Parts: sequence; C-alpha cells; structure tokens
Amino acid sequence: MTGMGGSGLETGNSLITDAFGTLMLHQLLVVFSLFLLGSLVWMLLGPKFPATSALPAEPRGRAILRYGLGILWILDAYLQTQASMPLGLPDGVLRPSATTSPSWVQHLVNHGALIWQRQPIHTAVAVIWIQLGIGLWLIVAKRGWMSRLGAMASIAWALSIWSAGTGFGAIFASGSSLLFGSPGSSFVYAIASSFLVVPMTKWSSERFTIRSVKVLGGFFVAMGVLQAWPGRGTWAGFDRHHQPAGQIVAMATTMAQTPQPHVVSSIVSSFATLAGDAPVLVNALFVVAMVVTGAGLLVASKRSLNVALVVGLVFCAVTWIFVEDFGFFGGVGTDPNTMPVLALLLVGLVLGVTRRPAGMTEGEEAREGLGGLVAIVFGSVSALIVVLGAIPLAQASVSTAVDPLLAQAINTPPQTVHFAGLPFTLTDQRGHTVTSASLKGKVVALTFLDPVCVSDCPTIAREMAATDALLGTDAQRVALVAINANPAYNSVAISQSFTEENGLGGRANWYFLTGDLPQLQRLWAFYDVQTSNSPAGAMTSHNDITYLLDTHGTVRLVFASTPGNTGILHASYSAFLAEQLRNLW
Amino acid sequence: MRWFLRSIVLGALGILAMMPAVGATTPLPNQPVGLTSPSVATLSLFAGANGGNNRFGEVLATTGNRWVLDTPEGIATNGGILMALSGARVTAAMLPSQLLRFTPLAQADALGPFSPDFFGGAAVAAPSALSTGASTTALLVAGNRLAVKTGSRSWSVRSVAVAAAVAKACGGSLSAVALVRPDRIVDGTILGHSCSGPTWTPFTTAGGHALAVAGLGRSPSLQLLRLVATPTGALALVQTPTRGLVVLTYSSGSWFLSATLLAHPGVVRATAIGPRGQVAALVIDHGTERVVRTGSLAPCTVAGTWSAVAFTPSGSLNLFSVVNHPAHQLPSLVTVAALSGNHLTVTEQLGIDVPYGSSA
Repeated sequence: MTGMGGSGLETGNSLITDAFGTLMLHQLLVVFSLFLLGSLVWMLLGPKFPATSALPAEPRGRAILRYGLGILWILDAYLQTQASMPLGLPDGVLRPSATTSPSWVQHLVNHGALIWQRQPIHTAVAVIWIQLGIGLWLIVAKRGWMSRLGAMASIAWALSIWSAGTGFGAIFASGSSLLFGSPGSSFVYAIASSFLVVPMTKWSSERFTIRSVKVLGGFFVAMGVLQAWPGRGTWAGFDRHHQPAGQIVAMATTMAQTPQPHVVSSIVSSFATLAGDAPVLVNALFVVAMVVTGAGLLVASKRSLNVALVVGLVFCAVTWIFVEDFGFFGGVGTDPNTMPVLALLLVGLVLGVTRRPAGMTEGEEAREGLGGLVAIVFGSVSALIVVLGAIPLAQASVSTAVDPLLAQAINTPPQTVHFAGLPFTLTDQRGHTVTSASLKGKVVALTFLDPVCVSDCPTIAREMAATDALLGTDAQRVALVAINANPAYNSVAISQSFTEENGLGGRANWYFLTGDLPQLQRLWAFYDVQTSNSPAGAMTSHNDITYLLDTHGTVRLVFASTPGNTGILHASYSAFLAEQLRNLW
Repeated sequence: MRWFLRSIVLGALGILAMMPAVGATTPLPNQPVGLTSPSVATLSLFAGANGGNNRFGEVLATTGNRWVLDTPEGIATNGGILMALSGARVTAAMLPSQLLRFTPLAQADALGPFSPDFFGGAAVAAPSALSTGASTTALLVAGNRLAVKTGSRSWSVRSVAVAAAVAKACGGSLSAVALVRPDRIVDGTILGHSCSGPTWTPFTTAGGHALAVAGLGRSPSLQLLRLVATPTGALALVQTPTRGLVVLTYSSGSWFLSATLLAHPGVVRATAIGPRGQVAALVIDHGTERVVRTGSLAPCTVAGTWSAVAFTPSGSLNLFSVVNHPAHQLPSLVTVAALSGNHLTVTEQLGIDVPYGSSA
C-alpha cells in the first residue's frame, strides 16, 4: 500500500542490472581501446627497444605466484560482473562478514558498504576494472619495477578489501578458523603479493626462501592449534535434535544452502552429514593436516617440504570443496575464498626453496630497469585500467552523493506527459493564499502528503528539504508544493506543525497547501490520488505520486515517489527530483 | 581483606534495601483506561499484533446499551491514545509514533464522529497527560510544560518548573494533570507526580503551590496511577507499597484519603473511574486476576484473561478481554462481560478489524 511503508530494492532489479551492464560495456570499450593503443606502441617501439632475454630467468616460485595471483585477480574481476553485485554485495557479503566482529570493525565495514550503496553501479564497475587491471598487470609485467609496482597495487587493493570489505577477514570475530577463510583471502593475496615486491635477488637467497616457508609453516601450525583448541565448537557435530551444533557442520550446512548446481550442493550436504555424525574424526583430520603441513615447512628439508606440499595441497582442496563450497556461488561471491590463494602461496614458497635459481647479482637486477618493453607498455595499459576504476571509486569514497537511479528503481519509471495543471486556490502553512497562477514562472514539484502520516510522508517531506539544498541557488526557480492528502486532518495548524517538524519551516519555496474538502477532493481526483480513511486506528491511505510542472503550469513528468526504506534510497529520491527539476528550465 | 569484602557486601545490601519495591514502579505504558460520565463511557485499549507498530490504540464507547468501536479515523493510533472526558465530550490525543512527532487531537460528542480540527500548533511534543474541563483542554508536555487551550483561544504553553522541581526533589516526575474548576483551586489545574523518596508532596498547582494530603503520611515509593477532575473537585488513584491502592479525593481545597483498595501486592493492569467517582482496578495478584472496587465490595477473582475494566454510564462494571490474531490478520475479538457482585456475565462480543501493517 503506497503512502504506508517503504519498498525495498531487490538485488535483481532490472533497471539497476541493465544500467550496470550498460556502463560495464561502455567502459569495456575504453579498456579495449587502451589495449589497442598499447599494442600499437609495442609494435612501433619493439624493434628499437633493448631485449631482456640475456637476464637470468625469473625464479620458478615467483613466476607461479605472479601468474597465479594474476589469474585469481582476473577471476575475481569476472565474478564482480555478476548482475547481483551492485545491490547484493553490501548486505549479502560486506556487512555479514563483520556481524560477529567488534563494533569498530562493523563501523569500518559499514562505512565501506555505505560508499557502495550510494553509488552501486559505478562502484561495482570500478571494482571490476581495478581487479582486472591488477591481474593483467601481474601477468604482463614479468620483471623489473613495473612488475614490483603491479605487486604493490595488488597489496594496496587487497588490504583495502581486507579492512573495509571483509572486516579484517573476521580475525577479531569469535570462532574464526582457517577452514572458514580466516584470516581472509584478501590478506593472503596481500602476503602473496608482497613476495613479488621483494627484489629478485631475494629469491636466490637461501636464508630468505627458507625463512619464508618457515613463517608459513608457523602459520599452519598456529591455525592447527586454534582448530584443535577445546571449547570453540570445532569438535562438536549435531545436537540431540540433529541440528548443527558444531562449527564445521554448521558452516557446511549453511554453504550447502547457497544457490548453486545441485551436484555441488549435494556434495557439500554429504560432507555436512559426515561432519555432524563424526565431528571428532573430521576435525582431527583437519588438525593433523594443518600441523603436518606446518611441521614439514618448519623443518624445511627437501623431503619434508615435499610432504608438506602434498598434504597442504590436499588440505586446501578438501577444505575449498567441502567446507568453503568453492566460495563463489550464490550470485554475490567475490572470490574463490582463501584456499586457492593459500595453495598458491604454498606452492610458490616451496618451489622458491626447492627450485631456487643460481644467484642473481645486484648488477643484473639493476639492468632489469622497468622490466622491458612488454612490461612497460602493457604494464602501463594495465595501470590505466586500474586508474579507470580507482578514480570513480575514490570519488564515491569522498562524496555523499547518491545515485538518482535508485529512486527510480523502487518505483515505476517516470512517465513523460503534457497537460495543463488544474487551477486551484489553497492556503499554505503560513495561512497565505496560494494559487496555481501565482506559481507560474517556477518549475513546480507537486506531491500529496498526509500531515499526520507516520511513515512515507515525513520522509518525502524531508527529501523535499534535501532537494532544496541540492538545488542551491537554483532553488529560487523552484516551488516545492505538497497538497494535503488527509480527508480529516487538513487544518492550516496541522500543515504548520508538519512543516516545522520536518525541517521545512525556513524554506521560502515550500508550500504545504490545504483547503476545504471539496476542493481537495477535486485535486485528488484530477491528479489520480486515491485517499481513504479506515476505522480502528489506521492512518489515511493514499498513493505516493509526484508531478513536475514547467514554468507555464504544464504537467511534464509524473512518477511514483515511494521513498523506500533506507536513508540511501531516500537520498536518491532527492537527487532524482533535483535532477529532473533542473531538466525543466 | 576480610573487612573489605564485608563492606562491599553490606554496601550492596544497603543499596538493595533502598531500591523501590517491585510493583511500585512505573505502570505499564498505555494501560487501558476507562472513563465514565453520566452520559457516556469510553475505554481506550490496545489491539492488534503484539509489539512493534502493529498494535493500535482503540477507543470503545457506550451511552448505555452496546459498546461500539469509536477510534478516531484518519490517523495512526499505534503510538497510543490519551483520553479525557468532560460531560459527553470525549477528547483523544494521538501520541507520536514512528515519524509523526507531534500530537494531533480529536474531539467527539458522545458516540458522534471525531472532529480533528481541535488542534493547536503548541502541542507539538509527546504529552504525558490530558485533561478536559467544560471549555478548557490541558496537555502536560515533556514533564515541565503545560499547554492549555480555553474556548476558541489559541494554545498557550506555560512552564510548570516549580511543580516539576518539587516532583524531581523526591525522585519522581510530573506524570498527571487534572483540570479542576477554577473556583475550587487557585489556577484551575492540579499536577500530580509519583515519588520514590520519603518527601512526597503529591500534588501541586500549576503555579507551584503544594497541596497536602491528609491521612496518607509520607510513604515512600508512591505511584500516581490516575488523576482526573470530578464534578466536585478531583480524584486520584495512588499505588502504595504498604497500603495497596489508595483513592484520594480533592474537595473544598483539601485532599482526603477516601478509600483503600485491598490489592497489595498486586500489579495494576487497568483502571476505571465511574460516573459518581467510583474506582475499579483490574490487578494481577500472585498470577490471579482480581477486580478491586471502592465501596464495601471485597476483591473478587475473575476467571479468564481480562485486560480492561470500565464503568457504564449507569454505574455497572464491565470487564474486557482482547484476543488478537496477528498471524492470520483476522479481527481482534473483544469480549465484554458485566460484573455483578462476584458474578460475570458475557454480554457482547466485538470484532475489531485491526489494520495490520498499515502503519509500517
């Protein structure tokens, strides 16, 4: 019922998903153009540029990390193209990631979610280009400073997501576990990227590579101990009502309910049953796998590293499939969760020890410079793609402007019309007579409000005030007019109280008009406003509708104006109204 | 160390001892209230889904035959309703709820339709009490302001800071108001408050003059439940921790203890004041519902789940039960029973089609 409660916004709203797709395609053309330009430069400069082939090959472990991370970022960018992302990510992924974290973490994540919600389309598209750009950057820039800059960009973006997007991977939440993704895939992305930032000579250093695997080993052992720690629910299965009581069974049960192919959900469901019926066995296997992997890395002999590699990879694969459920199903999956990147880190660091190259001299490293023509040209193209996303994201971060498309998305699209408005003589909240003729020369936003309404009408009135503020000095060319829509409560005194209570008291271009009931009824009928009173304490029902009249008093646009149920949707209404009013002069 | 622990335990016990007794604290907000004059009776109660915004204040009224639904239309009543009765004129103040932040009034004669024009821009906050006289309406707003409208004049708001300070001095706050004929009291208005301390000065005039009560003493933890004007002065219903419910009457410039209702240690669920100053209360006493009344009638136990009481214009007492069907969005069912002696007779049933979801 309009006028009595806000509507929400479904994640699959066609207006938003269409706009998302359109913006993405438009910017994809820019991305293609950049690549074409890069290719042209490469072809022109190629013959003149000194070759880097004389330099020692890139260490195997580094190459695997670099390509793997690049592919993962590109996969993440692809996942960001899902139609549900613009509207689904904040409440489907961001906020839930911090629900059990301390309030300061929730506050940080909520801030990130608000940035996204204000400009969902531009933000969602921006993230695609940032991730695609970083992925391509890591792949095309093999060595030299361009490669290291790409890795730095990867670290910066991963840490941004880790903090404001995932609430630090829920490490401050109770019950965090490596099995469920803690300390967060983006944190592991950042750690893995940091190995690409270090100078290439480090990969030839026995001390550095062995220390690296030992640190990773320590991490696995610590996670194993945490997993084994009593009282955290890791050893529990089903309760006596056969409901999930343990951590692992609860997680697997939840993940099995994610929208996904039936085969996958049945696999995860079967595992949930196993974890519920034999929780001690299942958790013990996970603990042993983590401790064995960690111990193998800590010993750091060739044999122990191979054992750690095999056990660790099996652990990652089993966890990824059966507990994390691949991580990217459900329409708003942003990445394949922690296990693939952890496995990549494990492989990269172990190969860093077992396939350590002959020492690269500092002189050879210095000769790498920016990393060769391919790295310079296509690394720069990739960097520009990152910038293509970073600029609108930065703008959204510092701006409180809300996308006006959201207000349209919760209502039917506005209709362009052309008819003369109905003449009237009414009284405003100041007790002054206002006629339709007296408003000519101004663009008029005309709506119908109930002064004793408890929900939509005060919201719409406040958005009228916000519209007035958005218009700035142009506001003097606009009249914001509301006609009383309550058959019973329509005195001037009530108009005055409503005006004061909703922050419109000092606005010269605000008119809350009322009159005798026959005249109000004539206006309601003309503007298709259905009002009715019900017994038993119901508020007056009426439809939320707004008309825009040009300076000649001709009605030019009509739209439903249900304000929605969030502050952001409300703000979108005022942004939309201000935009449309400006179009009429 | 031992003395330290002892002092902590003794201190805690001391604090507990100073706390007001259970049952003498603030009554439930928006308690059902029955008001009756010789020509009309009204009852305000809540119906609809429990909690949230889907509970609506409803007004039932009768002139002597059947009770009818008489809730003011055109406004959501989910914030609650304050009622006042003067002769046959019923006044309702709709309390703010959700985004409505001021208090529209409506007025009706007997069972006639409510007129919503009776409103002033002065009454823009949540009032805690409403009283009407022959031509005057008073709202106690925000605990320290009195908005008064006389005749067709506009509202005037005056501070009752002195009275508020008296209330505050004993740990209470202004909570009730009664308009009394100006010739019977200095400025025609009595303000009442509760007190959790031993220095209770229960009633003051709007000008800050204290009105002493003879016979009640200065008992701590007193809860003023009702304060209404009567043809001869005023009547107050006070819950005390030691004497049960006490009825006070104001006449010829003084307050008198006129009756004690044996309700200790009951919890008052609803109260009613009759056309000749009778008082009845529905109390829960150790899990049992009982009705206590002024006069020589002993408290009587009433089987069933009753939620309100009201006198009819003829002076007989009615009990009301409300059954809500929030899940099915069916009408709430109100059962009315007449209490004669200790005997209950169901007289009628009303279905109230509560507007589920219409305020959200």
